[in-house]
Amino acid sequence: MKEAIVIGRPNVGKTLLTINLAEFLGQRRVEVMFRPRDGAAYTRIYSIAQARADLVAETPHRTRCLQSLVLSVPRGKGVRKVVVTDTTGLCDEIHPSSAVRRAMADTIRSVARAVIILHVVDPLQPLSGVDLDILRFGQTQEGYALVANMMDLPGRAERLPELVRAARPAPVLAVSALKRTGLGEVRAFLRRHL
Amino acid sequence: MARFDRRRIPSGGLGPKGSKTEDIFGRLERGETTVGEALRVLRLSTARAEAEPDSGAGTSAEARLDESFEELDSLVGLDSVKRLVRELHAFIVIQRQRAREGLAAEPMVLHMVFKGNPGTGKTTVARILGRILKSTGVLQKGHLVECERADLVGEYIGHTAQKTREQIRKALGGILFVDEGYALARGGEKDFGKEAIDTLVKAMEDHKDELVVILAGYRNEMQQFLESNPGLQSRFPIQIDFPDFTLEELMKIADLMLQKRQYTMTPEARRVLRERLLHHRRLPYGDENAGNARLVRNLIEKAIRRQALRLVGRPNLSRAELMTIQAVDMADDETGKGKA
Ligand SMILES: Nc1nc2c(ncn2[C@@H]2O[C@H](COP(=O)(O)OP(=O)(O)OP(=O)(O)O)[C@@H](O)[C@H]2O)c(=O)[nH]1
Ligand SMILES: Nc1ncnc2c1ncn2[C@@H]1O[C@H](COP(=O)(O)OP(=O)(O)O)[C@@H](O)[C@H]1O
Ligand SMILES: [Mg+2]
Ligand SMILES: [Mg+2]
Repeated sequence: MKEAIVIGRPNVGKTLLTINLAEFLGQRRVEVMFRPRDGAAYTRIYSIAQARADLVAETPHRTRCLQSLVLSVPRGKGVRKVVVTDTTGLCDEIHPSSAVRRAMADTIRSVARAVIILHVVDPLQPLSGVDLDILRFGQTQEGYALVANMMDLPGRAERLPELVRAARPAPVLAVSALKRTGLGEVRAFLRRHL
Repeated sequence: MARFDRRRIPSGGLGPKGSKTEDIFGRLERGETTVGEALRVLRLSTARAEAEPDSGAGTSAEARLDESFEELDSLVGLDSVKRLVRELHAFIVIQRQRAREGLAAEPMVLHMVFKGNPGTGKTTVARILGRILKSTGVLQKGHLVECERADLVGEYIGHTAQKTREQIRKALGGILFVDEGYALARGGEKDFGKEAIDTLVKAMEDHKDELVVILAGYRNEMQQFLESNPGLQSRFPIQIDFPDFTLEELMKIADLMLQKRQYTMTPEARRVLRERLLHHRRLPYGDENAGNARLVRNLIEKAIRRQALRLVGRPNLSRAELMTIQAVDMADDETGKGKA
């Protein structure tokens, strides 16, 4: 199965996007596979509401290990399955916690093997540091898209043209994970690369 | 709901093959570099990988695994060791499948103690094991870094940790093979060997997924070493005994070694070799070399050199002559030392 990864800085909405995308694709429950570094992988089944309540947080670094779920993307007459992996947020500085560093290393490892990369940003923060490095990596890859999240919040729409320019030739998908707008474009992007 | 029960999904701890990228993940985890730097290395290495299409792909992991097992099977004797390695491999594969199915999986602690006399195949098996662990995806490189006390223990405070870390760094992604491991505990309380052990143990935790440590050495010494460091027993849950080779096994090893080098020995030469190997078994205190395959190798290599000396300068040497080791080549040399 191909793997799509959702990466970006902490707290930009990667997890909420992943869960709401599952819901958008018609899932009422999700089976999440957690892959912690210091133990065996395990899975849990959540209703969409439970998943949001448990896995999304206002504070950064809620997601501490790779969390994968399988989504079915309609394509032509059938469906294509894809493993969507939500990851630990990346930051510029060397993180003091070795657990977080390992989780970040796993995120980067997943970058190296994923076919599809959804790079989530909050457009209000100018692209810099690690975001630029992800973007530059992505620009060398087929299945990379810059996902401008939080479009429901003020100030974001104005920044969009700048992002589009910076991302070229990669596409920019403008979404609100919270209000579930723009998810059709994400689906179309997945479809193109599956 | 789409579920995980159908196919394999990529494993968590493993990244792409390729030495540059492996390093960078380790450094990232150790806090020696930033995420940005790691991404830059990754970008450059993927660009390079595309430029040289043969890298990475190559022979499949399964083919390499088969090869490693063939090599293991081709070793003379060592039946219990072979069985253990197969068991270990099966265990790893099944635990991972269980993990993928969301079933409780046993933690995989793969640090080991190899107990046995010199020349009983410890290093040889460790090297093959490294390749097996690589094909299985447990280790990224599977190479073997051999070291001993002198490589790990330093002369002043802090020196030891530094030396030990250096060896560990070299071994990341593979196996750190500590020969005569018990010697680490040699000098008592004030000795820096303790520091080496502590550094090693810490590294085993920090690099859980990218390092296997094997402590090798004499059976009794290793036993004592483990007993006097009770914390270590549980950290090295796999203990493998390497029995001395029997005389017949040693002779078989000799045949194999000669065959590989495209030599044969005459029945007389064979008898001489046997006699020389027997010598070690007759020693009353139980010679540690009684079952030593390295001794066999030394005797063979010596014989090959002596055959060359015997033949050099002779006109019209036949192919058979060039290939044959005679009794005189195998005989003990003038000094009368029987141990080669
Ligand atoms: N207004 C608004 N808030 C959002 C949006 N997406 C996410 N959030 C909020 O942002 C916060 C972080 O969301 P998460 O999905 O946990 O972010 P994350 O990137 O997974 O964070 P980490 O796992 O901690 O790195 C939560 O409080 C979300 O409700 C969005 O599109 N609009
Ligand atoms: N079972 C075996 N069959 C054939 N050759 C062997 C076998 N075990 C060891 N040897 C050879 O004997 C030599 C010494 O083995 P080694 O693995 O270095 O022993 P140790 O590490 O126990 O001292 C090597 O040349 C190796 O190729
Ligand atoms: Mg998250
Ligand atoms: Mg050895």
